[in-house]
Amino acid sequence: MGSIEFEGNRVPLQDGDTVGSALYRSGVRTFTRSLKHHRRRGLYCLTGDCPNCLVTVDGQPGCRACTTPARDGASVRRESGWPSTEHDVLKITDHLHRFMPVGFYYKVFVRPRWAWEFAEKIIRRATGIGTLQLDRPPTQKPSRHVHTDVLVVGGGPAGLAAAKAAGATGQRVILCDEGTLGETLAEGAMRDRVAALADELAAMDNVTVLERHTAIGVYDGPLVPVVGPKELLQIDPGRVIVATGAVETHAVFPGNDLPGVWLGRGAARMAGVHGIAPGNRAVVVADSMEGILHLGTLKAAGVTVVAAVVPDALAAVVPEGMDVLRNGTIIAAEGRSRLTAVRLSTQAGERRIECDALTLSVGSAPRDGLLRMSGDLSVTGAGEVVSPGCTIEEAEMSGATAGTGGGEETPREPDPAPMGADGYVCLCADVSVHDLEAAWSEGWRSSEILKRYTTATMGPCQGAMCGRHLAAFAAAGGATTQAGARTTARPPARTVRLGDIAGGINEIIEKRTALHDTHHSAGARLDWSGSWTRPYHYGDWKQEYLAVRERVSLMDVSTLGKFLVAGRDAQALVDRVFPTNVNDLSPGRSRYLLALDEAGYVMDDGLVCALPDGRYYLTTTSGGADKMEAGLRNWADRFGLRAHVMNQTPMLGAINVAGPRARDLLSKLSTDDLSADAIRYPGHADVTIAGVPCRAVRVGFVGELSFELHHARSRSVELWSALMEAGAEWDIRPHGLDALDLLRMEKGHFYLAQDTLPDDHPAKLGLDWAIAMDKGNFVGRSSLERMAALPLERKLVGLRFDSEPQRGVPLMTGDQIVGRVTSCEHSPVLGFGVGLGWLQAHEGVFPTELTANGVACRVVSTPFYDPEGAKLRA
Amino acid sequence: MTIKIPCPTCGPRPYTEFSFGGELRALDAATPGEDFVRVYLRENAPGLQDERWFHAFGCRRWFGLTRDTLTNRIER
Amino acid sequence: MLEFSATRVSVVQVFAEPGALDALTPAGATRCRVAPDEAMFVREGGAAQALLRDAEAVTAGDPDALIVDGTDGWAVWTLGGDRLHDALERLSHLELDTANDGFTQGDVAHIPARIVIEHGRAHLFVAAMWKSYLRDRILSRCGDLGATETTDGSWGSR
Repeated sequence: MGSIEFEGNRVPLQDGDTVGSALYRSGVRTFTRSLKHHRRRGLYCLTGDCPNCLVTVDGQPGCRACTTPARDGASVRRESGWPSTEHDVLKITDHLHRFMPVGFYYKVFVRPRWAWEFAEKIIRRATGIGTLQLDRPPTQKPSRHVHTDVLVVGGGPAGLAAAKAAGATGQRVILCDEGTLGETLAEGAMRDRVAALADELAAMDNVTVLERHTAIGVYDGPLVPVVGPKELLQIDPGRVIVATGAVETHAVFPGNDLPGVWLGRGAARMAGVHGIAPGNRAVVVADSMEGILHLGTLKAAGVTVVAAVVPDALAAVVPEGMDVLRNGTIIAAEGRSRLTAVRLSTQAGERRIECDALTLSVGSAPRDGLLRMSGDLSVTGAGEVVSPGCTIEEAEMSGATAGTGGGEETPREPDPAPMGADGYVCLCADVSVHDLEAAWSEGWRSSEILKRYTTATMGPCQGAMCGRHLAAFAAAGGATTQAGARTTARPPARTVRLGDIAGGINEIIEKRTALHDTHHSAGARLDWSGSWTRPYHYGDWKQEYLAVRERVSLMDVSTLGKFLVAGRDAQALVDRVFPTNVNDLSPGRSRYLLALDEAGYVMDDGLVCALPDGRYYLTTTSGGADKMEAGLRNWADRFGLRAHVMNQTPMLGAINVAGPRARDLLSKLSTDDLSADAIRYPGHADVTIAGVPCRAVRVGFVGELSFELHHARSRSVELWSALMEAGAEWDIRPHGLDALDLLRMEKGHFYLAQDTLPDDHPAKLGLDWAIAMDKGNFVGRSSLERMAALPLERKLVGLRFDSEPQRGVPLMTGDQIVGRVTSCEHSPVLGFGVGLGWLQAHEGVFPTELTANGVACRVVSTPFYDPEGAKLRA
Repeated sequence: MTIKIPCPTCGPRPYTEFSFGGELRALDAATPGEDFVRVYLRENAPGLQDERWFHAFGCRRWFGLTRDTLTNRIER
Repeated sequence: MLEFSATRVSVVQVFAEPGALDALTPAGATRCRVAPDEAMFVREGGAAQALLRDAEAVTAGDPDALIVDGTDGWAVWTLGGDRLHDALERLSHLELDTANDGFTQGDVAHIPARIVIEHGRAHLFVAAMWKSYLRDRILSRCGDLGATETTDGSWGSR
């Protein structure tokens, strides 16, 4: 059967072993040390609910030993305690409760502050569960989207019956279970029913059963992420049936966390499924028929039941030969490293019984996390999750009803579990009754606040054990209904590894122009610019800059937003939306375009070109394309205008041909009239360049004679190559974003979002000239009118530096900060530093002599370069 | 995480396919004071809210709907 | 097995009144109704002029109609093979029926896509600037499905 390697020892395996059962058989009793007090913890629930058996399997920390199948050759380590889990010197903390009160972190390391730095290192080492192996490559599971009519979570009698009933109606059904069907069940009626129903489902083509698939949450929609061994399923079901059953109630009394204290189902699984006696002498506490059945299971595995603690009603069904204690309650469990005795209060007085196992079947705590996560109407519960303590037949009936979509069962809350004088409420975070009382007396008087202060319910079990206890404690203390309610359930409901949900995190959405490979071949440094990758330079950005200023250069501006607006109301739409006058714009002419929002703030800028037939061609900044399309359609819709907006950004490439020789270059490749009379600035014309039909748009961003050639994307490479070839006689070289940054700065042009802020209205940017207040209404007009009445408190200005330019630093007048430099660079052609920056009015005036980082600068008018614009109009 | 928004053209889709256009607001107001409220202030009230949505991943069209902001239920 | 290839197509996009679009059925074209006032017509590569002529004939005289050869705006990746359905589940949250021809638009690998299913193959239309991005996703998400790139991308039945 093979074996596993456990901390240097070989542990043999038997059929059906989990890591937990194999280790237990070999004599391991302490599986973990508790988080704060380093108390020994052993197997308890055996259903993957409690935190007691988290071990590292094959380097994977945080595996629940009780539900992890034992694989031959696997390597298993315990995780907590120093130097080892078995011999843990930190157990001293168990005797130091007095010095480690609840809220320890908040109270102890406030002063002196420096102490935390050291204390944190020690605390981090002392606590924690497992160590990540950082030398392993990160793993990602593939993710898949699955649609189904019905998703059933949980493969017990209720879930199986629900899947069967839903499947019988012909719907597509998926049933998932975090284990394999029936694996936790000892021989008996329950296991027989599960097997029978599973066989029926296997025969149904429209029902898919996914074993070892864990639903980790229910999101609105609903959407249920399900982690399987090999993939993450994102299940989009028509409806969800939660049939996750219940965990047996965690009872709270002193010593309740000792190894040897079991939940009844845990002990029964150990005995009935793995054939291992969970002790020699057991005290069995059973409040239900299920608990009575466990008595037989334990006995069959060789356990001597020294006392069966049952209510009056069940006394008669206890198998013969067992000592029956009627209506007993546990006072405490005794023992140092493991259970040695139980003290009980009985009708005949207190009794102390020596034993090495105590099994508890004192009620059902529905595993209702998934059910409570979603307010969605299409998520319903079935079986024990809504009806704790129900019989197998009732669970099946409940499942069948839910499966056919018939009526929603109102979840019934179980009776509150008894809480003794002390004992551990929260096993994950070591929170005792005493701790809750201390927190309460400090004034934390609601379950949500108690949770945050004590960290109860925040561990690996996510409140499966202690959630109800916490609420009951608050309610018993006198909290209002709301303050005594259970804490909000949120995903993940079950432990999930980051690698399970990390699929796709390295998928970065990259846009490329048609010239991407061309730039790459030309040696460009391509990098992110918004969502695009674009050339920053081709080796020497200053040479590229000089090519624009002195000769001719190309830039790939295919990233610009490009839109066609058509339809009978096209003009009305452009006129009504933008502050630009378009009604006097004849075909072939263009105009600077500002896009404002209703608050009058500048959202984008670009150019509007009037086309024949009442159509318009708009260009926007590279980052603004998506918003422009949505914005125009929104306004067309709101204003009831019949206009079509087509985003042509993907289908058109654009190359800016800029420099004093730009016209000479284009003339070599075209027979069209490219003179200043034929295509005036600002204007555009349809021409053919090197055989490629282009819309040539005169633009001025870099301050030289420039033609933006907008053309079919499929012809970008051909056009670029022809231009580069024909430009050789002027030593043409393309320029990237680095050169562009200085070129535009010399012209005083801002970069939206680099030099501007979200609440910039045109006056702050010196763009009043671009607003036609003499036209009719436009978006943002009423806000501009309102703001015009207010004094300007801040504006974007041009800055001249006669020594080293300063970037991104505050602007000072005297010792007052009055602004900030947003862009700055030394200009080779001007011989001084040029920049843009924010300036605030200081004592009612805008200062003009400033310092930045101790360097003098002054406010000057822009553009710095060619202020009259003679070059770009050439 | 994934409430479904009923696009009139494409059918119900997870909200991640949409851009949220906010509360439906008037296009203009009678007085500057009312206009100030119209432009800058939002109701943001719990309960039913008329909203604008843009199906950015689908038909790329706008539509209006009424959503209960407490339950995320789409009323119409 | 999962085969995928870049496919050459001709695309004409028409914006017009819903009624006019209803009347428009260009010969041999796949018709994708994008919105009440927008439709996309697809044919094999090199057929854009014929498609334009067909579209213009029907909308002639309608001042509101906008007809554009959008061929260059689209990159089309065609997926086929017995793992097609698995591949689509990896790539998109959309519920796609690979057994029947149809048109859907929505999120594919985080970007907007138009999906045409014809003859048991899925054609994923994305904006041209995302051509290489979507190829990367097909490879990264469907590599273990045996994704193999072929060069014979073609529109229509094979």
